[in-house]
Amino acid sequence: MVIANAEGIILWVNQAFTRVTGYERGFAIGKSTRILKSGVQDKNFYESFWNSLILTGHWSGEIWNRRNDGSLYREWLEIFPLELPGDNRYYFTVFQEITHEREILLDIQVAGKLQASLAPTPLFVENLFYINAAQKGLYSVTGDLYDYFWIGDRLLFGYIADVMGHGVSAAMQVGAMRVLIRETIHQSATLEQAMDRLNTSAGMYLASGTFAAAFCFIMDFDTMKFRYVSAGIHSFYHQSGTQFQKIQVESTYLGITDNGDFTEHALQLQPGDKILLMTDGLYDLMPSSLQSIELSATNLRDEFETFLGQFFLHDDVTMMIMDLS
Amino acid sequence: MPVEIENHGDNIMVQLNGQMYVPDAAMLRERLMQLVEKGVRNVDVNMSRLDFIDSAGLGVLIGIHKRLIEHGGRMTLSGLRGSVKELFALTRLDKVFDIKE
Repeated sequence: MVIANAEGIILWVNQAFTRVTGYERGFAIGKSTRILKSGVQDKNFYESFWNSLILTGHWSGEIWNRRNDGSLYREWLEIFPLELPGDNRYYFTVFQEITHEREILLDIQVAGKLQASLAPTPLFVENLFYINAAQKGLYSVTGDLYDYFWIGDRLLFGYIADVMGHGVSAAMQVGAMRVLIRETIHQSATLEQAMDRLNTSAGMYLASGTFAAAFCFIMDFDTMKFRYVSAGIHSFYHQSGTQFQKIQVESTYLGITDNGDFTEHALQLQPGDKILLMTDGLYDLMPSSLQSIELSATNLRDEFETFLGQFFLHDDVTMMIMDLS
Repeated sequence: MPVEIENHGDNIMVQLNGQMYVPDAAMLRERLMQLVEKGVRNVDVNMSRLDFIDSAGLGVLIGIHKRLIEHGGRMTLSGLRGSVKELFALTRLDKVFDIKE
């Protein structure tokens, strides 16, 4: 905490000031607040800063300052006018060092970009299908994941999954899940077996008190059969012509019981059909009376942000759409 | 109050009321996790006055249940009804939790 006059001369500081800046109170009092100046902010910043102080008597924001030992630190500060008798103006400043918070935030943003770069690009075969997915983390990173890839001639495997919770702790486990699912599907004879193995692995690898949901499918383009097994993602949507239906799948989550008793189901699809999968962060927001979702696989990534704009998100969200031609 | 917690030594009684959304779920998780860390091993959750729970709420119950099992404890649910009961059946959590009618 700092009290200064209108000329920026320091009149009083508390112990937190000394702890953060390294300047003893006896040294700081009587000096200009410019002793903290870092040189990082440009002239425009200070012009706007002083304009705000003079016109409104108030300023708040983030600023880089320099300690007595020359090191830089970032702080959030708020300056208020101090009403005292007389004509002189005084300012009262509260601050909080946020150097580490800032570094962590930037690091999470980088992690989010790295995570996004691992997601597959849209996949399509002309006159057959187009599959695409989009996601948004509540923070920069996400605890959701998805993938799709060929596992045989005209057999497409795909999934969406959700490590419960959100933020960094969920995102850390997503990386392991991605590798786990890819390895498991290649080593399993059936979707049910794959989900059973995932369940066992999830119990071992997921952190204490954590679990996951997943929906895995194999699309057979010879028979046009969509085979799927769910673990806790209990609903998805199927559109066929003008028919739009919510399909519910009774199933439990991964990592909470030794025997998940996962069951494979199949849906016969027709050319022109659409399958729409979503994680619970999004599904929870869908009205029960939902009649259609006007999103297509082709433009999903462009339209997803606009689509999400109508909701107040409280979890990571992922949507996958497969359009059959 | 959507969430009421009564502490009886090693046993905790939780009453869930009305509609439980994310902020209540986050609060419930924090308070129950603290209690489990302090040695609570039995948690009874009364859901007879609960009309709605979303996946965040379910997530908290499963997370606490898992943590209790790891510590040799147990969670018992009672009074499930309506859409809450349906959701527990759909997610097969009615086979995971110890449920009293």
